[in-house]
Amino acid sequence: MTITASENQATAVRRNAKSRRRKLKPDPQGILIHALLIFASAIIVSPLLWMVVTTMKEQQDIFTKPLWYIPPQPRLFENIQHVFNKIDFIRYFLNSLIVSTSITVLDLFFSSMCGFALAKYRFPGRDIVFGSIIATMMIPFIVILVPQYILVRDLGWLDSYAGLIIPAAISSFGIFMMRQAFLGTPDELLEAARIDGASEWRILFQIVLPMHVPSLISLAILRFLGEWDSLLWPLVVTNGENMRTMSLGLALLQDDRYGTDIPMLMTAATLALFPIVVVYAFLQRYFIKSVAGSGLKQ
Amino acid sequence: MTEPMSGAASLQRPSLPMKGRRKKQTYHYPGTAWLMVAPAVLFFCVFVFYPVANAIYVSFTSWDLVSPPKFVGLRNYIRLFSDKSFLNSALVTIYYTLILIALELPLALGLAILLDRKIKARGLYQAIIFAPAVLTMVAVAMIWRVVYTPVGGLYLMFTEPFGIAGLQWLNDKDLAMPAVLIVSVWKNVGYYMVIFLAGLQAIPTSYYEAARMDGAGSWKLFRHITLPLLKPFILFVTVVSIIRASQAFSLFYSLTNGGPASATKVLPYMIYEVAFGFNRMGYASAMAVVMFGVLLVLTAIQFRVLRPQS
Repeated sequence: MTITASENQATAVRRNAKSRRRKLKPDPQGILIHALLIFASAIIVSPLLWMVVTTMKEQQDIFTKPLWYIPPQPRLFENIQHVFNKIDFIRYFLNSLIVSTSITVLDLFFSSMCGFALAKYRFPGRDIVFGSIIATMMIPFIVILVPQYILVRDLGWLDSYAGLIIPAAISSFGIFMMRQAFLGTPDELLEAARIDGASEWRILFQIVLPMHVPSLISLAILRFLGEWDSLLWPLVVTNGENMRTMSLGLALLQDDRYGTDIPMLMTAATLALFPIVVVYAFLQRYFIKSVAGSGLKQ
Repeated sequence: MTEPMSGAASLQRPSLPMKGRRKKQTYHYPGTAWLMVAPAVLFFCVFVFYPVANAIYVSFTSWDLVSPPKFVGLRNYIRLFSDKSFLNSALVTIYYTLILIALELPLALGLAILLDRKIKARGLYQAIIFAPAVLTMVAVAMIWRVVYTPVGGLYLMFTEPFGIAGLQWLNDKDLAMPAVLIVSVWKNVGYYMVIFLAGLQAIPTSYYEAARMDGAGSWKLFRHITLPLLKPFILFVTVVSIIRASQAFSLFYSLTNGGPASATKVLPYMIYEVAFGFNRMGYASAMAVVMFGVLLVLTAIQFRVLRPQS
């Protein structure tokens, strides 16, 4: 549909005609594209929908009834009761919330501070600090799993919030992201604030940070989701019921010693995913933006 | 620590100021700057650099966490290379990583291309296909475990029309890894699609228009404009997905437990098991160090091969 200047009028007429025709009979390419996308969406959604349908079933329905059978008397409430009888769901949920939120808040605070200094000041050792923090992004967590466990044990933090939160409190990714964001802040702005007598800390927290709320939101989403999902560290560092996170609680719920009460498992999964899906439904634009931005050169 | 994008920045070359431009200038609030950087520096020294050094040290010892570590030199490393279960895990990890990338990259790119145009419900499609990326992995594994139930599992919806039923997805040595791969693709494809879509949208439409005026067809457009301009994104997604795939733990822990018969025992799972199941810290650390080395070399090669010439 290229429009060159000379053809402008003619094309405009033709396009009008075309768009009128399109309303009556959509082009085959468009139908194909929609068909493919609908197919992909159906594959994504069907396990989730089926999970919800399964929460209404009884165990024997799974084996004897059709896949998408919904019993006339849905057993959702009984299944929820089963979940709460088996595990301390609320406790796990709150633990995950406390741990993930604390890590996110700490990371936002310290990464902003560090990123700001790296972006906006010239100080001895800056390049070494920046270079070595970036280099840590190459280190797989599994490499430091054992020594970090030993360290946390020696600090007496096993099975505690401190043990779950502090070793993850600052991320090189966060520092990098905030530094890249602050690089774009004009120096004149900082100078003007200095002339008005603002301290460097005030400049950071009251002038510069409020300008970078989108970056903070992106970082917060990525960090929170990552920590909410984390399983290996809580598995290693906790041993009792009390400090168990949502992921860990669910993973252990699946263990065979509880038997496989399928509707109960699906109810637990639904309960665990429900808050995330609700938040995602409202904030999906931010979620997608924070991931999309990570690939763009900053 | 386990943030999804730990590889994000490895692509961008740190834009350190050029040495030449820094003419004997005085430092800029060095005191305040150091105060701001200090917590992070301290944190990384204690929780990253010290543990890395310690991992290397522990890998030269035999240690069960109870009695003091005993220095054994290279014994752990030598034993590694004749350890069949380690070699099996290494192969399983490579197999999983390679196949996963071969599946999810083209799929993600294809979906991104489909969405890179003005169509109805574009935002809805994107939101749905991306959604699994935000879902908790362990819960996802629970769902799929049930989907793979031999009798009554949802997979039958796709296989029954072909007369296939009663598949032992998670108990069959040959089906377990494909089962894990399907879940991985399902979970990741939207994530990479979103990154590719951002890349596609960064390509100026005028390029396409110019090429089309020269009479280029859609394949030519894709081959000579889209693909070359997307190269940095392809590099980025490859690096990120190799790092993520080779470190995958949660899915294996909660879907297959490394089984059946170690068919899905990837290295992170094996390292976890050797360290915290069998209390062999030295041996587990040696495995981790080897894996780290291989990943470093791989990443370096990728940069050589795929870095856009500019």
